[in-house]
Amino acid sequence: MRSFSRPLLCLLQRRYNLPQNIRLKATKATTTSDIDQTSGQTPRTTHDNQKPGVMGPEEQQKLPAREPLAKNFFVGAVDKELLGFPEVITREDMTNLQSHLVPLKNYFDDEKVDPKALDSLKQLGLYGLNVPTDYEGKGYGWSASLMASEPEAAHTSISLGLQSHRVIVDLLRDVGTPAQQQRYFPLLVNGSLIATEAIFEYTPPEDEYFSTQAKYLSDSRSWVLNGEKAYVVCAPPSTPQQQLFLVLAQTQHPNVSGSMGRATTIFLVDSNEAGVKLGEQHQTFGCREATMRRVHFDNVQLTEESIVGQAHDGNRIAEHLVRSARLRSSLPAIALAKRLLNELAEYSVATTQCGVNVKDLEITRAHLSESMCSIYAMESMLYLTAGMLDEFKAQDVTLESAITKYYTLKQLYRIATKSLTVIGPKSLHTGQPGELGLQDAAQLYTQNESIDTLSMFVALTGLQYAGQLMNEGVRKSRNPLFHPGHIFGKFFATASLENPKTALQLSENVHPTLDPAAQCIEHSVARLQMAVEVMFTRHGSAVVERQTEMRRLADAASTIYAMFACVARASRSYCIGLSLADHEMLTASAVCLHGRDHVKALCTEIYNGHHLNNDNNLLRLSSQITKSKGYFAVHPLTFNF
Amino acid sequence: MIRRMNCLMRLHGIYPNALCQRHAPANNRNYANQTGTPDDERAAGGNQQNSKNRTGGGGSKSLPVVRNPFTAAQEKTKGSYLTMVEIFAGRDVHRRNHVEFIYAALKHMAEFGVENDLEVYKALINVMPKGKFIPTNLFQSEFMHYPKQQQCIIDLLEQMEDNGVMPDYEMEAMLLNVFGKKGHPLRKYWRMMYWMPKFKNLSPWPLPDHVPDDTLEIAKLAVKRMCTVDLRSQVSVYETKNVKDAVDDTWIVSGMSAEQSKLLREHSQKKALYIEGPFLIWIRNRRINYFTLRADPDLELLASLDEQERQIDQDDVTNIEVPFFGRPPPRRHNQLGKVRSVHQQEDGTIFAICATGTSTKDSLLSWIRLLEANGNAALGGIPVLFRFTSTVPAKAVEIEGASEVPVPSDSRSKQNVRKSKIVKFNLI
Repeated sequence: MRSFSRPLLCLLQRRYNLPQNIRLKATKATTTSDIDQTSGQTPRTTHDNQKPGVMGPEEQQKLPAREPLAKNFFVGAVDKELLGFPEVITREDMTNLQSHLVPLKNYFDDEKVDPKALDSLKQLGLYGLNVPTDYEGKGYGWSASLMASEPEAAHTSISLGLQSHRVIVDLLRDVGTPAQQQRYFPLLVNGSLIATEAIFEYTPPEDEYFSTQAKYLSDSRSWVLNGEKAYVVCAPPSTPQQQLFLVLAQTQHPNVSGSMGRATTIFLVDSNEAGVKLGEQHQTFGCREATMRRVHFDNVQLTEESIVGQAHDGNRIAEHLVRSARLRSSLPAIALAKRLLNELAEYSVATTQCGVNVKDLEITRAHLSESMCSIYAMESMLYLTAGMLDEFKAQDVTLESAITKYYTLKQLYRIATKSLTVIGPKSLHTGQPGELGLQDAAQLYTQNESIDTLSMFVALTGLQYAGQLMNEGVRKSRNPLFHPGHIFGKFFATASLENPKTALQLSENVHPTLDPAAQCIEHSVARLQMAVEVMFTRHGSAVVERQTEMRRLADAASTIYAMFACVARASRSYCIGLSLADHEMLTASAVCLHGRDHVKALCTEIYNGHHLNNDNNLLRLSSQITKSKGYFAVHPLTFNF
Repeated sequence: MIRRMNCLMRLHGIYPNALCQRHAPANNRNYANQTGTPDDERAAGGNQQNSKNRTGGGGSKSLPVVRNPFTAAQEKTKGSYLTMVEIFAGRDVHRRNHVEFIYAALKHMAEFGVENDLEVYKALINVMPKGKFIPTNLFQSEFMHYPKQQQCIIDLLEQMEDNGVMPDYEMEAMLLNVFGKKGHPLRKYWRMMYWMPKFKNLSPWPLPDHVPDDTLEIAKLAVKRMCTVDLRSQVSVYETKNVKDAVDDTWIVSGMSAEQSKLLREHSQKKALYIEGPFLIWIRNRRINYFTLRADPDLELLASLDEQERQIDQDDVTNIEVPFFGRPPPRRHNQLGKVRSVHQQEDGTIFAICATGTSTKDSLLSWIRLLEANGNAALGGIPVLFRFTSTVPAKAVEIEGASEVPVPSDSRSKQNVRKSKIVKFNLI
């Protein structure tokens, strides 16, 4: 009875953004199933009290921030309340949004969209989705602007440029000074100025952060920028277009010399400034309709107003930047994954081989369902993360957004190669959707940062958080003779990786049908925590060097977040009776069951250590490979005598 | 054990004279006529002892001395060597004195340059008559049938092993035909075939199949071998004639890595560099002199790096850094971006190594100038000193410090001194 009511209660509270204290009281007070019957009426009554039509983050009353969700997985804690999938767009706003989306859908449904026709994109208002309403933008929050960019995501190349623009708008909205906002938002909102990130370099320097460097001239109180950036998504060269580059440059603290004084600073550079030159265009493997090129900065004079945040403070601002970039770049990937699955499904239905319909083959069915599960998880993660950003004030979703991108891109690439296995060589004919999809998937896979770096980021962020909380225990475990009590306690602990002991009661917050799935999450979180603890105990602060284990940790954490998001979403869908909700439940169950085994395998590998899990062999091999500068074995048919 | 003792006794104690004397009347053989000189005999190796015994034991001057055809050969090539073996084999069906012949042949292999040639060894084994030495009963096989012949081939195989010549299956067949499957040479052969292939490729620095004879090529091999400590090392060959004012016209093989260039850039201009040497490195049987460019160790830095490492609290996991934007993931020892490189040793920092064609001071000076011209501009401002452990041949003009020493008569050497002061140090 009790467990059945809680998910719904949770949903109700969220829908009307009740303040937290009320929310807690309500949780305690109403434990009956009455709410189940009244849920039909309650929305309308409460809805009248709500001020409709406000969606800008400034106006919206956000709830106070909660504990970070995914970071807490590393210490074995889960915020149960978040299992209620966030509903951050009010009913009325949703209606407005839907009607706004109609022209967009119509425009992008047309097969022959010219990716170079920026004017129509401007007319559709796509550049101003997340610009605050004060500057005549639409003022959408995270969830709404992501939803509104779904139609355009059908064209990955267009989407790349637009998302990059929005990332910078997000950044300016969050950390830009009022002067900067006043200067740039009126131009950015209608696309007369298109913003884009210029962060990555073709050949990163050996010892520095960036070879693009900025120097401060104290007499003229200005900055001089020099260097070159690559892979900058630019406007098509055919039309003259003013652009705004967000440049990360290395700077030197004025009072600190040497490597200690190295810092990064984020500059906004207008393409019309003297010294900014657009360089060669990159011939990319995928997303060929997007224009990616080098940008040269040759003694560009910049004022202090063009610094985002503060000088030498780029790393702190970068956290905002990567959060939004990672979140937004997941959207085109999800859209692409959906298209690929649709094509695969259509092919399976339409093709018959040797009298058997391909869709009836068990292997095809497994392929289709695996893709479905992955996409469902990606989408749930994206909107759960965006929802948390919208719902809570200054919520820490650094890890969640990184995980969303990590999981999405990895799964997207897997899905893209599935069409090769199912369809065969035909899928790679030039111009075939499968081929284009694979190319775009590969391009997105490498876009902005390598997946390895991202996995290290996920693991390190989690370890950083866990390290601060678990330090005391780790110190005791690493010095057992000084802390015999602690060790005996551990010795007699009965929880094992096989049978973790949990008391999270996650199933209280989801539909009872999902009880096994919630159990899976509980166990996986417990196993992740055990793996983190064993890593800390074994390696201490040297844990940052154990990158193969960290990769496993990243995989485990992202799987758990996927499970969490799926269960939250499926529970909501089923409780409010969305169409095909029963199959959503099935999907969530499948994701959780698979995820549990995956996490268990990964954590067991970490537990076993590098002698048992084959890491040792791989590391030994690699040193010979580098010595031989490549493959070292001689031909199998070589004679020795 | 018994077999071995038996073999030794028969070889050294009991039979030799008898065996030799049996061959003594062979004065009509071409390798046993009187033209042989005492010198030849001394060189004749295996059968030298026998022939002396023969002449001495016989006590008669009319008895012939066994002539060794290998010392008399005019043309010392593989072809002539094989021809001699062929002539011997074709002489008569009994092939008398073949053991002595084989010992003599083995002794002279290096002169003909065939000590690494399997074909030659096979030709020598082929000299042995087939079938005769195969034991026919248990006792024969147990008590080393024909010990002298067996020992001869065992010695031949031993020489092959010493020279790293790997036998092949044809040799096995030949040995089978000569000694049968219980023969001791066969056992030796099987042991060789077990171990030699395993050892053949064990060297971490394999040399090419035919080690080149050119000193430059060997110097390249030597420098490359030493440079394997740093995978980024580049070995470059310079010509001194490209250097202005160089006296010697020779080559320089120089090995340096990007890491070393970086260390050199960061080296203080006030601290001198030393060219040390000559040190030795052996490439198979060739010796190469090489020199290092090095500086005294920066003890302070090393200590601070060690200190840094010691101060890291391994148990403290509260300060884990998270990188942004694809920077290399952090290492715990790398908080300041400084790691001790393999070139920074306790006794000094090594910046480059080289071998020159002449190993003279002049060529070493050219080396420094070439390094400076090839991406190490920092060398221009750092004093470079010689510190030799043995006398370096003074082929080139002496190199003196311009400021301290009166200007030498040769104006060239004055120009050689350049900006940096080069002082000659001869420690030994």
